[in-house]
Amino acid sequence: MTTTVTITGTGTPLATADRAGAGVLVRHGDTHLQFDAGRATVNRLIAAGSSPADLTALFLTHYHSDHLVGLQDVVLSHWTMDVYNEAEVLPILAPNGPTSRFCERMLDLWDDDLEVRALHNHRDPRPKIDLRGFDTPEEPTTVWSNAEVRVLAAPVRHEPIIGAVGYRIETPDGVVAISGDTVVCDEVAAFAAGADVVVYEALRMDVIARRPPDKRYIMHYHADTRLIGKQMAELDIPVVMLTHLIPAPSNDAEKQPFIDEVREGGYRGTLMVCDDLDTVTLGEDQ
Amino acid sequence: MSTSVTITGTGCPIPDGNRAGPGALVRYDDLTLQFDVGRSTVQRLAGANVWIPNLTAAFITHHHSDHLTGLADLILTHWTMDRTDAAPALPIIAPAGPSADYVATVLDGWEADIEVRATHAGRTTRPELDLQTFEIPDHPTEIWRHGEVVVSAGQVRHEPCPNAVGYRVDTPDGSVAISGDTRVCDEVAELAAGVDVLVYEAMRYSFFRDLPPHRQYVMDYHADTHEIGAQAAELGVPTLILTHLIPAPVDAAEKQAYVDEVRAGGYRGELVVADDLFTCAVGTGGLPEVREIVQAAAEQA
Repeated sequence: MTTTVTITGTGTPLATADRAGAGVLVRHGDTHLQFDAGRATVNRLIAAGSSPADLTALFLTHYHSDHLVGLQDVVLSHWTMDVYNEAEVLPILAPNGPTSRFCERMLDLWDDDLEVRALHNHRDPRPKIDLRGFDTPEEPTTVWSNAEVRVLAAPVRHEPIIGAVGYRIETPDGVVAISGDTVVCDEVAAFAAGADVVVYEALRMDVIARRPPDKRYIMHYHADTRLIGKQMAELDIPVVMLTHLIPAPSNDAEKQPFIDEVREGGYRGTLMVCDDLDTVTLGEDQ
Repeated sequence: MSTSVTITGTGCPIPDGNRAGPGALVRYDDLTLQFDVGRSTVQRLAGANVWIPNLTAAFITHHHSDHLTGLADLILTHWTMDRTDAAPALPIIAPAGPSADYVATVLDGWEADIEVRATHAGRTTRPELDLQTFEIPDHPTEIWRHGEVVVSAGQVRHEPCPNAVGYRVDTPDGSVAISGDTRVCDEVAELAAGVDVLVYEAMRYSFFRDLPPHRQYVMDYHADTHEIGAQAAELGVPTLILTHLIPAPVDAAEKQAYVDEVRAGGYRGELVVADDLFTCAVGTGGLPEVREIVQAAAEQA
């Protein structure tokens, strides 16, 4: 058995042609876990060989729209694709507060659509989801598990967003940490320690610091490339996947500064400036 | 001047790796008109080089989710990318009834996101809804105009989904009709009479007849390829673009089945089984030159 980590979207709120909104898919056998559901997540799930109908559980990091705008589509597609009415209920795990409140309300808007579809194809008009809110823990804490896979949530630092989390996924093949949106901080180190792969959001301070003062605010709540390099070196993480790339690189030349800056921070392991669908596999025959 | 139509999404509710949800973009000069806003529409608009805050208006055909799941993203992104707080609210034009009811609530749930972004970025505006509704007309009727560009809506037949419309755009270069979701019916013929380009939703009934009875219900309300061919031939439409493809073709052979069936229906004009971002000129003016994203990014730098 292997565990794979696939970035379903490497983008940000700003629209680009080739980068879907934030999302990561972790698979171990039939266990398919999706983390965040930004723009075009459903397209990317299919392209990755998964599907909304194949998801075992879905996890949200925080309530910024670029991490949520694809969620309704995932849930509606989970229902629409279930033409034989045999899909399992999809658990959605979200930190309590605005993120869980968004989930509670998100299907209200679709009543008319669900009703007319159900009338036509003789189905129960309610998507099968199970919203499981949890209080953002102070330390990494298990929020979901099955026989082989365990998911822990942990606090990150994305103020002025309160209650944002990252996730740590433990499988028999290894450990994956997903930063969510955050500055580089001790909280990330706490749940990334010992991970085989860290999926880290990344922002190039050099670029954003050149903006006018009133356009620099995003510097204060994203992860600087050099600090990522320093932290990942200290933790001795074998593989780092950069995503949520700001500014979005459109070619290899624009990716290179991300690499250079993380290396300047001291990191010497395997480093990927990801495109959508880039995948790392853990636990291959060795 | 020149007018073009771009298919922003050729998919349907059943997701596909490469096909965004339903949508078509009509361009004329600086006008950019989006028809339906399915999954991933914002990404496809970026692929078509549209700077999202510059989008002129979005029109909705009906309230099925596959035509609407990208709308919240479009309205939010229209605001998020407009860092100068200069863009007017994006007009959303929808038929009265469930479509307009949906649009009226599309920003519900996003209050916390909007507020935290606005506060952090020092924004002076918030995303606003500019919903413009119209009653379903008995016959194609003008519902929007800007200078010489006229958008008309005409009812189509998508029962049990009520209040569904198709649209027609007339510019000085020519005309394009967009069927929306519908069976082949006289209402589409009336809407599309005399157009240069007809964008038609298409379903291969021949494929669905082989499925179990409980899967065949979609044949009640989509457009059969053979009948499309017969109608487009009668109308003498020069260019026919098929979209909302059911089943979604994954290779040339599966596309050819659509072509064969439309030809069997009698159509002899230019026929396209569209992929996302397929673009063609409407009428005589050729393709518009588009550098919108490059220009906007340069202005912001």
